[in-house]
Amino acid sequence: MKWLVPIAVMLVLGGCRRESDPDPTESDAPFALVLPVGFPAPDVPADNPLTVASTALGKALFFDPRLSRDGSISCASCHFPDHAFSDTTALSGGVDGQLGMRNAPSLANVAYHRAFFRDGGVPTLEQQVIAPIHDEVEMDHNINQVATALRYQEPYNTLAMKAFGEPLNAWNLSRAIACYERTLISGWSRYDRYMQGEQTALSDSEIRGMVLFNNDELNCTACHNGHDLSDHDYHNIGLYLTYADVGRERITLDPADNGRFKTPTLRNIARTGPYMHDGSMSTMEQVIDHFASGGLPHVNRDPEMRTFDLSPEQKLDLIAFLNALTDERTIDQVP
Amino acid sequence: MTRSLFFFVCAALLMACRTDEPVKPRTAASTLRIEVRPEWNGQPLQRYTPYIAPHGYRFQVEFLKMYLSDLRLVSATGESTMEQVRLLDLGNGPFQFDLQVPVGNWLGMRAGIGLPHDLNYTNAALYGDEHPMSVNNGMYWSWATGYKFVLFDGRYDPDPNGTGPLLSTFSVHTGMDTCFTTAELFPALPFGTEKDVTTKLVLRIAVDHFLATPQDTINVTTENQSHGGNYPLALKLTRNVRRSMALEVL
Repeated sequence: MKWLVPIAVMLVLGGCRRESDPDPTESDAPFALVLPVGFPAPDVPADNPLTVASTALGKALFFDPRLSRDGSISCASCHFPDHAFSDTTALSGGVDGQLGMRNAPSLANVAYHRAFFRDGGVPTLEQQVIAPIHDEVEMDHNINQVATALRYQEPYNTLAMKAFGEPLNAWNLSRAIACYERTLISGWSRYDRYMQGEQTALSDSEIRGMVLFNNDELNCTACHNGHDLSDHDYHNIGLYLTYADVGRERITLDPADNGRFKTPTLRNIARTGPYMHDGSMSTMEQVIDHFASGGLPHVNRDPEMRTFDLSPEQKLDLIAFLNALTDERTIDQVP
Repeated sequence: MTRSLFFFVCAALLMACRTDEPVKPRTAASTLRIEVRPEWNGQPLQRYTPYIAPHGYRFQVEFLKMYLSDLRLVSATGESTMEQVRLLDLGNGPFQFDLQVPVGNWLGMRAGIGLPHDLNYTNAALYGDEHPMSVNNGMYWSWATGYKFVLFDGRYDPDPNGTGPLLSTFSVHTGMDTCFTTAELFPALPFGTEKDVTTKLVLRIAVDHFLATPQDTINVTTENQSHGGNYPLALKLTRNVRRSMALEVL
């Protein structure tokens, strides 16, 4: 039955190709993802492995404004590389100057997330890619039309053929961007060096701030824990008594999820403001004051929210520690 | 070895390409022609035409689409799958579609209104331009990774005596697992399908019943937005859509 093997391979490779399609001239290679010390390998879907070509294709698409209806907005328009791939405005904008309903979060370490968007409404990165392209207040376009328009343009044609063995289409477009986003790994801060034993990596003030951060009284680590400093779960932190954006409830339809949003990573927090799901706080001081107050008494307020007092010096120490969570190198690994 | 290679070939072929065609049954010897008739008070529904809604206000439909899924013929002894998914655009008057079905005697049909969980949460990028689940059809709910099951959009004017344009809008979209339901479509008489013969059925959809049935009423002057968040309204529309459908043998 050995003859079945080449037939199978030919059928798979030839199934979607047309005679006019260029042949892939080079074989693709696995992408060598570099992980910080102590980081687990992220779960990568077996049917969408990281490769040199797929991540390069994804990066090219990520920065291409032609993904939007009027050619004005790319993924990077709201996920700025210099800000750990987060937005600098409270509510992220889209075509025609429209504003969305949320602040675009950092994409650092999304490879470790279990679900996407601040309400966790989308279970895979591949599916997440579709949403901003179609959202009327973001790119307001159509992923099929985008793929058709870019299909035979370079570098897309060459990279898609190399990565997926077929021209660009909506299916592999979503997979390529997901591949690129999975390479955005954050874990190269002075805090990380300190945790690896480099005693001088943090200043005395930053170390005092770290002790406060880990203090049960402040209880920051109830949610901001693990290598990503996030439990990736959903919490109501008493930001409002009535939430204009219902958060997780939008997905589950469960009133107990009203006002619950996914815990953001604290990595690169000095670069990812404004803060909160709606970007309603512009400084870390405001955020700390909110948590110190215990938040507003919303019925779903997380029981881990508790009041605490900090002296001005302690607040400065805590902020100094948070500043030390900034990566010392780019988190973009794709050339 | 042979068996695993065979399964590999089949799986690889299925996964290799995006799809434009829903899955169809393999055994088909007869044609079932279903004429879909969207109606308002027994007359063909006209888009952009003001009607008087059950609560006494002016009302017009502008966009109306819905998914049927897992369409099955029901006999006295079992069921036969006809089609995996079909998108009905009810805004453009009556239309018909053909299904290839087995020869037999049938009591009626069953069809999901909306998409079952496994289908609803597949990656929408998988479906080509012509597929009913293509994102081109405007039924994909990208923020929740599922599809709108019923899209019911239009305008209203609370004044029944008004003569001007209808300015207020309503937009009720059902979706998510909780809004998936099954329509039991059994005509008054059984019907048969014969080899090389086209059997004709009429599927009437009484759009006026979307707003009022003996069990549920919707007054769009006060209940006019549902996009997954307004759960009771979406469920009421789901139930009324199911009750609005009736199958007849021509």
